Amino acid sequence: MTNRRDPDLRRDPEAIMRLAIARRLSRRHFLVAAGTGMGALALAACAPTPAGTAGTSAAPGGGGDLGDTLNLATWPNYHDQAVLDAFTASTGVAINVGVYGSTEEMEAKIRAGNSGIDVVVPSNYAIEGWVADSLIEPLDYAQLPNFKKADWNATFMDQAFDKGNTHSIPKNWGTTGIAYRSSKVTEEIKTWEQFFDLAGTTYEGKALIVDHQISSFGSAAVAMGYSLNTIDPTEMEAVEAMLTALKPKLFAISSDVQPPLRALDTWLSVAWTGDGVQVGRDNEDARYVVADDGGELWIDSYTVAADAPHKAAAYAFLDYILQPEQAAAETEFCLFPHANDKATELVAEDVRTNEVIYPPADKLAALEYAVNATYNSPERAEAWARIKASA
Amino acid sequence: MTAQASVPTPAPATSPVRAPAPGPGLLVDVRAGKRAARIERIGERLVFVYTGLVFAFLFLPIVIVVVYSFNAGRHVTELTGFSSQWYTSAWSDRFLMNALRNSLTIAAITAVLATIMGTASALAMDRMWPRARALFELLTYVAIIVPGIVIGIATLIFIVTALDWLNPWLAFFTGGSSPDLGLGAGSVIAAHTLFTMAIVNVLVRTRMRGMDRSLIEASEDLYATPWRTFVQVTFPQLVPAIVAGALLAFTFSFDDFIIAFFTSGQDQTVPIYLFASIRRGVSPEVNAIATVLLAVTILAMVLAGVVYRRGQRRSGPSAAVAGDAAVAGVAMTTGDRG
Amino acid sequence: MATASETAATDRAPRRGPAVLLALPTFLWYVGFLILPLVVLGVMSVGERSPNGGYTPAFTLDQYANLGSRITPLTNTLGLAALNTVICLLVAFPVAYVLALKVRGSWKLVLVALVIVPFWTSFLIRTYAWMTLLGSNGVPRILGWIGFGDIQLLNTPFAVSLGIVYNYLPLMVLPIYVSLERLDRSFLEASRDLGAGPIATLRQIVLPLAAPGILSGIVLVFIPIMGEYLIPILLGGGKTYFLGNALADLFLQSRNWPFGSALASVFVVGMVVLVAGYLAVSRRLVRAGRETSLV
Repeated sequence: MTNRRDPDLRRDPEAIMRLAIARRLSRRHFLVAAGTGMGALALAACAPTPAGTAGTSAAPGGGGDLGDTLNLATWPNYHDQAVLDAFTASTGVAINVGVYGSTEEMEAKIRAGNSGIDVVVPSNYAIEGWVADSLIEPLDYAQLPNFKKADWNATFMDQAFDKGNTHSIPKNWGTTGIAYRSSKVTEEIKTWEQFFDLAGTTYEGKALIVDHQISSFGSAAVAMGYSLNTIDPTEMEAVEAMLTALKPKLFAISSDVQPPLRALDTWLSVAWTGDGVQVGRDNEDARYVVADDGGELWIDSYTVAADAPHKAAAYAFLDYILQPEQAAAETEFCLFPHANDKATELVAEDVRTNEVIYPPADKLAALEYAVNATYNSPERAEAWARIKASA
Repeated sequence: MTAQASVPTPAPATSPVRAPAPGPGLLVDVRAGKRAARIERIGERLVFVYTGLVFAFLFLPIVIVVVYSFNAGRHVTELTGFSSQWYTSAWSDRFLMNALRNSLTIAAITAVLATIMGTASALAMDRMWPRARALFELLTYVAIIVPGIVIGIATLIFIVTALDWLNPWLAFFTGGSSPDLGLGAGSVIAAHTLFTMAIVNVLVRTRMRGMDRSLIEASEDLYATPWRTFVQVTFPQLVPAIVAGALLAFTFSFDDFIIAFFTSGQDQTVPIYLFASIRRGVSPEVNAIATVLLAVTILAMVLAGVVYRRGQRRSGPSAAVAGDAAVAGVAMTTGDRG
Repeated sequence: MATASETAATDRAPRRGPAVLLALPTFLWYVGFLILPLVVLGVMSVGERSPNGGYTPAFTLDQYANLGSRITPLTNTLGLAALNTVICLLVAFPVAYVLALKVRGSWKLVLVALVIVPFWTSFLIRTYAWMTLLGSNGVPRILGWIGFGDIQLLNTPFAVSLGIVYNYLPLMVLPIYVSLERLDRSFLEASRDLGAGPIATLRQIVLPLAAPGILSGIVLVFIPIMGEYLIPILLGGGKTYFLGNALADLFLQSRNWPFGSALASVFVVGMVVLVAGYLAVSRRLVRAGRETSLV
């Protein structure tokens, strides 16, 4: 096993990537190993100081005009620390990773302003609204010389929520599906209709839906034959009634999908791709299913905050992280599919052929993107609040 | 008619106990007395057992946390043996160490600010017009009682609104070379100081109420200047409360989640990190962290207790030690609401 | 008893003047970080929600008119807060009684400290420990061994109540303890000498004298429970919806800042009224010669 403390590795990002792809150590192992090796360097470089004022950089290769900090607002377990550390090593910019459980939480900070966030990774449905309110800036592609549009999967580029990708570049995409433990759930669940039916009857007290209006209310709408994005009052009323009746029979309404699923407190659950994969990796009987009757397809994209304090560093980071090698390393780490085709080619075979991570095209056809109108619909929000407030 | 049956109802005035009506009520029936005594003894024993059970209830989760921090296994379902691996892996978790550094800095600064301002305001309140004091009391109490979530949200909104207005001016006055102020440790410190300063204020004022005024009056009678009176008479008596207040301020700030959650911008504190960990399916490192924090806090409190005790012996009646500790405890747990 | 001299000391004419300035920094801090934020909240509460979430300046009372839609979490929270406060009181009182009146000097400090020590662990960790204890691998499993299989304890109103009572118990024990501690033992002895049984003594002597402490405990417990946010999430599984959750959701999920501000404003006003009322009652108790509570 290569000595992770080998000083050359710190200056050779490519070597790290190749090592990561070739070795496929367990994530935890690699984190600790990389951490111990780079710990001292990163700890010194990564010193956040009060109120966002400048600190000192201990990394060689100097900050120069990139500054020494970059604030990244992203999702849990989304980035390979080794990839981030390599960036820090070569540019001297320490990356301060802020972890959020939902796009809404990111929006709360961004919308309030003066949050110090530079790069933020929202889900697709929020982007339209953010652009309208000038919360994120149009991307300056001149500062992204390594970005080659041709490398990217056309299914995920140039979508309605950001035509021409003026403000965002996709990172990972994924689905909202049904995760279940087949050792306890004897049926083979294939549709949302099945899921919601079983949750209220056979598996009462063992089902979980996420605390997310779009994913849960939307999936329930699909189960009843409506569109994921419905804001029709009659349809919403029907869905609300169904969910209100179901709520007392659920184990929880919570976006923390994995702990109860692992502990078998829940046997079936609304879940996102990464959850399905991660639980599946540790448990033989865990299944993740993209429903046949439809569901949510989502994309998380890189954007730059309009009031970002470290714009130069932000673009340097994006230019680095969007290259196929880095993208592939990240995919192998977080096990969410990447929107860059070149990256998909570079990814290890067992990841590439994993149908949970990369569902076949026909499965994707039934899915829809959530739209901004649904995300910002006061009626949907109120319906969801009423469901949560019901007895 | 036995004495038992003729317990008088208390008069509505000051004294709750009044002499019973004259008559044979003063005769005590010996057998009834013995029965009463036995019932009382059983009752007392029951209450003691009950108290013991409550203490067991209070400590149950703590024991779980400490025990599992040394558990070699990952899952709480198996107790597989003794291991300190979680302590070492927690130490090498850079995000955790980052958050720890933030938390310590914020808590230290908060404690200093809260102690100075809380003590100063307590001294001032002693000499205020009653109306002003009443207003201050209300403000103090509101600051303590307002739920963290309201403070967190309101502070977030206010600070960003204020900074929106302030930053352009700062840039104007410094020719564009000032850093853009934003949410961060500073805003957390501001919100934490608000609350903890009120707690220090309450503690110091409580202590002042129990203080021996005659010493101060004697000092003034001996023509000591107000400053000397303060330094040599008042302050030494207040030191225990001030120290207790400082420690409480530190602990509260370190432990707060909800206010930091809203106001911290991009800086993570330990509770924020813990919350994220719990939601993701936490590793037992969390138990290790908690045990270390617990040990450190116990040490700090024991230290405070020793200082306090010594202060007590020097200055006032010792019976109030536990009472003041209780007040301090209230103040502390008021803050520790997550 | 120190009461008379305390009252006299605080009411005699002290030297005013420069010392009052000591309160200035504190006052400014209160204004800057308590009053002004609440004012901003108030201003926002009469605004409108922007189409994409957030706040648009406006002047409308629509938000307040809409408060009725959150009546369920409000009554829910009020009810559970009241219930749990009462449970807390019932659980705490005997403990405070024992500590104050039945335990000897040096033990007192140790036991009081022991009441507080659990709260020196992080709140989150304690609650997480309860999640483990009440989850399917904890107590329910033990219950299963003795025959009560298949009981769900986590994510129930029971779990939420347990978590609340657990976390707020010291806040109820300690003020009552402080009150009872100042009780003159001779009252109890006199009562016994006059033949009163323990229950009567309790009812007619102990309780009235403990009243300030009880009142204090009730206020210190009830109001924070109203603002609880974490326990319903962690122990209630999102199925119990408190006012605090409704508030957080309005800012984080619906991103309806004006409505959230309206809800928060009403909450704060209600709370200030309660606190002012409590302080007034407390002051009256002082003047009547009983011991004061904490403030």
